[in-house]
Amino acid sequence: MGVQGVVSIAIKQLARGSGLRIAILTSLVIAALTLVVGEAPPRMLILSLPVFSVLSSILIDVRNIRSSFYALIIVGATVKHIITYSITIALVYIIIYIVPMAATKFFTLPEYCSLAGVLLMTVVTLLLIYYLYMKRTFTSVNI
Amino acid sequence: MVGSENMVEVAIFLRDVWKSYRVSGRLVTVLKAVTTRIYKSEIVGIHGPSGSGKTTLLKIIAGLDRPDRGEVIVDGYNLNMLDELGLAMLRNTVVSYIPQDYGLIENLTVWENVEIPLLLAGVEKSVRENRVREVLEYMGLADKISIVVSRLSGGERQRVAIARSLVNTPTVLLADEPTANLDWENAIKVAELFKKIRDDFGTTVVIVTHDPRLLEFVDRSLNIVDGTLKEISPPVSMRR
Repeated sequence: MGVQGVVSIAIKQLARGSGLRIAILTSLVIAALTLVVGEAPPRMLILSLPVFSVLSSILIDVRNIRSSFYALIIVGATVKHIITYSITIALVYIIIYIVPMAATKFFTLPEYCSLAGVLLMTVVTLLLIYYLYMKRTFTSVNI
Repeated sequence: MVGSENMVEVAIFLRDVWKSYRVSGRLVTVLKAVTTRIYKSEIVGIHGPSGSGKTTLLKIIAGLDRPDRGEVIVDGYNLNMLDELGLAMLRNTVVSYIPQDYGLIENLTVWENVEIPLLLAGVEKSVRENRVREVLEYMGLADKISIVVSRLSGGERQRVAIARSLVNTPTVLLADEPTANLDWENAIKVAELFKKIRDDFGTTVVIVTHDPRLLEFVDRSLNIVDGTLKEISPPVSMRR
């Protein structure tokens, strides 16, 4: 029920938030550094910098994400909708990091896969934790 | 047990509803044996001081929270019998809840916010567009459709929240402190709007408020003090 609708809400949310701009900037900086240095940065950097950036971006956009969960729950979102919303956001972040770095052609396929996997898990876990937090706030505040 | 002849006219039925929360390690009983009936197409005001259990009661009726004990029936659905999915569908089709802070997505436009319940319900695009347009025109928001919600005034945001709550034609509308963030002039407009909605669609409206002035716009008032509900004016059915 209405999964495509949730995808469109998530993409609009991200497109209008400032967190995503930071993610794009970080991604481009990593790609540019890689090109300037002329070789792939250490594996730890490849993995940790985007994850750190995703965390920062989500923290910047946390108010918007909160309002989305809040609004979705009120008007009848199910767990399926929330997972769809979370995975959409994760995929957008993955595309933002993977595409510019793929353009540098310095990384191996396993490196791309591990980065994508880490990003996916990070974002989905964060958003699901947030969903549970939202459920809790609904049932315990404003007596 | 509600008699079947009465049940046709009853929109919300609460029987012996109890709810407690653990606050700082201490168990606080917020609702104590709440029993009441709210009839179809009635506007009911629930009035009481802060912390008296008004919001908890509204959330239980909306299916956002569950009672520890007792029975809640909304438009014929026994909420105790519904799982998470059932409650979500109830909120999407039968009951609309407007929280005090409106619960809008700040960086989406008026149109996009009002469209959300229909998107979740998987309503076809052409039907969705017609319905959103109708509701926005009804609410006098037709000229604001592409404005981002965060740029609207308090009164306009309230109207967007009401528009979103009407878009799926619910039978029950629940509003938590709908005038708390408005000046008195806008508060009167909102109160009159609820009356118009009831008259036009036959919607049952429940308003939670700490503002006694708002009670002059309702058919019936219930007073909640220390988790106990008391009627302070007779039901419409009795007045007739």
